[in-house]
Amino acid sequence: MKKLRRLEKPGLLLAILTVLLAVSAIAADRPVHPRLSAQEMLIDCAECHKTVTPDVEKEWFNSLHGIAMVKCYQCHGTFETFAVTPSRETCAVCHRDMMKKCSQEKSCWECHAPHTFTAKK
Amino acid sequence: MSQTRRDFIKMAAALSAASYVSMQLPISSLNIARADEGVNWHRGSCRLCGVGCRVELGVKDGIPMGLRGVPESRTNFGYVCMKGMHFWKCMRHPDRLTTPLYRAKKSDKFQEISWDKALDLAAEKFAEAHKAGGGAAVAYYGSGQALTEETYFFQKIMRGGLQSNNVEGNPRLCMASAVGGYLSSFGADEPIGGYSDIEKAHCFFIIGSNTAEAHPVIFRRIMRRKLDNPETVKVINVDPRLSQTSRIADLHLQFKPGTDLSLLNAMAQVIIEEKLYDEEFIKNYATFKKGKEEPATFADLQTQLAGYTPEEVAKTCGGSFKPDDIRKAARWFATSKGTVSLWCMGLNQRKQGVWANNLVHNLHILTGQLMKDGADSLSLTGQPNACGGVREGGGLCHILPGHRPVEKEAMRRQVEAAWGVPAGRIPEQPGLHTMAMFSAVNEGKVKALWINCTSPVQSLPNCNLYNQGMDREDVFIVCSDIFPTLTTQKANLVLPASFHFEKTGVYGCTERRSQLTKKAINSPGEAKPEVWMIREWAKKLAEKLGDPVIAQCIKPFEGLEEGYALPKAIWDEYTQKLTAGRDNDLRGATYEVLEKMADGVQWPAPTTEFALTGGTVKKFVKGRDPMATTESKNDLPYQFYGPAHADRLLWIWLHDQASPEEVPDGEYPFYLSTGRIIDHWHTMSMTGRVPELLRANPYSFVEVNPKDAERLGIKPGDMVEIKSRRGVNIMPAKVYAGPVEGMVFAYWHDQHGDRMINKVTKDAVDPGSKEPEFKICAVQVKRLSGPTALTPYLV
Repeated sequence: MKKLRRLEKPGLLLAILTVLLAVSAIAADRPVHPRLSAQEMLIDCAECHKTVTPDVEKEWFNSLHGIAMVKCYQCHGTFETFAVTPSRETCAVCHRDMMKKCSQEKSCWECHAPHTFTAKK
Repeated sequence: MSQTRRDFIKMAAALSAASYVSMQLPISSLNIARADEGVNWHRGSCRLCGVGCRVELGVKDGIPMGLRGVPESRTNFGYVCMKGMHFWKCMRHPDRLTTPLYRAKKSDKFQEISWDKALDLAAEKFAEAHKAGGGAAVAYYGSGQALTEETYFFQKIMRGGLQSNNVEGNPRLCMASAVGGYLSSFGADEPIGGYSDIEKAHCFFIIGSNTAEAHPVIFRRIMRRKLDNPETVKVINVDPRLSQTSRIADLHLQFKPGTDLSLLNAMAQVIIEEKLYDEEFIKNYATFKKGKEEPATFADLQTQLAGYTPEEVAKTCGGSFKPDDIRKAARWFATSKGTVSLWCMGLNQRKQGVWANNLVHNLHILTGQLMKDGADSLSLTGQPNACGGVREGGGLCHILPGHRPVEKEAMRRQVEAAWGVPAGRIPEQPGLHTMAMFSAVNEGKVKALWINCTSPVQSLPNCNLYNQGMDREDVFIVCSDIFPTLTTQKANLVLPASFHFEKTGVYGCTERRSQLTKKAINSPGEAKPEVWMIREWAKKLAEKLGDPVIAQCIKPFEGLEEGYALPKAIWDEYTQKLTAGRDNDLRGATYEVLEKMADGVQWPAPTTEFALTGGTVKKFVKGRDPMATTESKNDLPYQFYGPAHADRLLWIWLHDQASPEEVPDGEYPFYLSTGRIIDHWHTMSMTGRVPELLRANPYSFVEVNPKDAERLGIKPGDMVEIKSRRGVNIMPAKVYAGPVEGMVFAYWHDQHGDRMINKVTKDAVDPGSKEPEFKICAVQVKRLSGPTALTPYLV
């Protein structure tokens, strides 16, 4: 299959994010995304995460979600609504039938490895 | 060449230093999905794209709360893309139009007025234009996103009331060549099969379609089929641009823009030379044509194709693939257990659009890759109701409801009788097609124009030229929409429309499938359903023109409540009176039936009993399509009863390679092509108001091949000028091995004047379909500067 050539990893935001991660975590009731300027928020999530979390980005890119272009914000929300761990309800937007078949007691991630979706823990 | 760390730092620094002018991107309780108790889920169709995904809108206390897919639906099996997932978030956006707005002169500021005054003005101006210039002086320009009831009702008033066939819509810009292709190859518009062929196909031939981004949920089905059967299912992707769709391809043929007719002929040449054709299928069901009245033979085709050897055509196509790649594609196509072709604007938006469609159909007819499960020649539709509303409902200047050509007297008489209007009321000549209509606006020949649910200021090719006419003070423009757009800025009268789920009606998607969306929430402010606007406007028109025939056109709908009873009555009239016995027979698909079905009904569906089974999965097959039995003329299992081929045969066309209207030269050395990205819909008036979608792709980029970028000194993020003989754009570059060398590719969604690529595109049209050649023109490409901070822009 044809492999698309991808843009190289952005660099500067790694530093920005590292600093801001600490700042943002201070007063948060829940995990929040490191603070970015409005302009920085206009950079596609995956572009930064190629640098910030390269393994995660790579797993996603090669997963069914990556091939089908299910993007970061579909599961994790945008900055104001950001969730490190998506809720069952978020998954259920597309996978409602699985909610009936799967255990009601577990989160989706206990069986479906995040970002690869293929391997079961 | 790709982006370096230094490049990125430079770009990010520039962006961070820039002042950022905030847009309306409020995140509030009105657009955060919540899983609260007490949410009621209302079933309907997605508002965006032509796939026809079934969704449910969550509503609590009258407020939309979220959206989810419907697992039982055979279109999407529960999946939605990000546009489908998020579009509900624009429903309560503060920019919604909520009050009628009027200005006498286009230079004036809008004033809020009452509905009564607004519709009175609309009627007065249309009556004035009609008295002065008759039906030629008035026009309706609609949308493949309008509900079927809306398109049908508008065209009824225009044709039966105002005696004007100036009824057009934006599907002229996207699907007209597919219509021409189906009619001239198969004798009937719209696909024979549908999505259910995907799970049974062994070969996918995807040409001129970035399915992954333009039709994501269909792509998911193709991807699943391929990845579940990596060795036995082949995917051939044919496109001048490598795209996300190419990721699942076994073979990608990247050709010089406009040379694909040669490539398709070369595949046919291989199929014939290697005797891969289905002799029995051709003998029973096909004939050959050089022209409509010029028959041909198999030998003629063989002779014509002799010049299209893989060796020659590989050179014609630019030399980026080998002759044997064409042979491989032809063999996979012909010998698979089932081949499905899929295409979209890459073939349709071309001066040779109908021919390109014909040549894909040729491959299917020659090889018999039709009629059986897993095989189909499946044109993907861009908009959610281009098929159902516009192609079937009479939404183009040359077609009446039920696939009836205007020029046929018997067809006009049938429609007039159904409406109870005098014979001869509908003009015998087709009206103005889209580009002719806006040319007539430029010339001041059309004096009153109603634009519904679309933004031609941005979406017409060579739009600078056509926007001049819309600025004329002697052209009165009514615009009904949900948000301000570049087109509402040209209007005299802006009418606030109800959005999806705020009204009731039917969408008909790519695969002949009609699906109902019922009203689930109230409209904001004073916004109203279009069917109400049409009825009240027509009532005033009848009074001002003193014409009882106009009153007759709305008589069946008088007094009906607009949220459900009115659209139901319109649907009933259309389906029961005007699809009866036609190839899109929808008599069985009543509202009652559609409400019971998870995923609507595929026509033909002449009876409710049959419609309740889901309708016709495969057209023309006895035992599967009820009309194949009732229309049967012989003992053969397939009956091609479509209205356009009296001989009831499939036509294999002899077409030669023909060039685009404009090809690169010394002055304008690059090809420009344009297209969609996954996060946005058309002119961004909806998706641009959803924070997640806007941020994902905030403005247009131009993709430049790395080899070209190196020659031109363009680095990622640099500001690049794209200039044609018609207009100029300036936008940031993505340096990306997507477009073939010598071609740039720009996204067309951006509303900003610097980045509105239709200022640059060309307005040449296909001589048959009158669809413009958006996809190919010649441009200059020049680096202007390094990265510049940009602000997303919405009217």
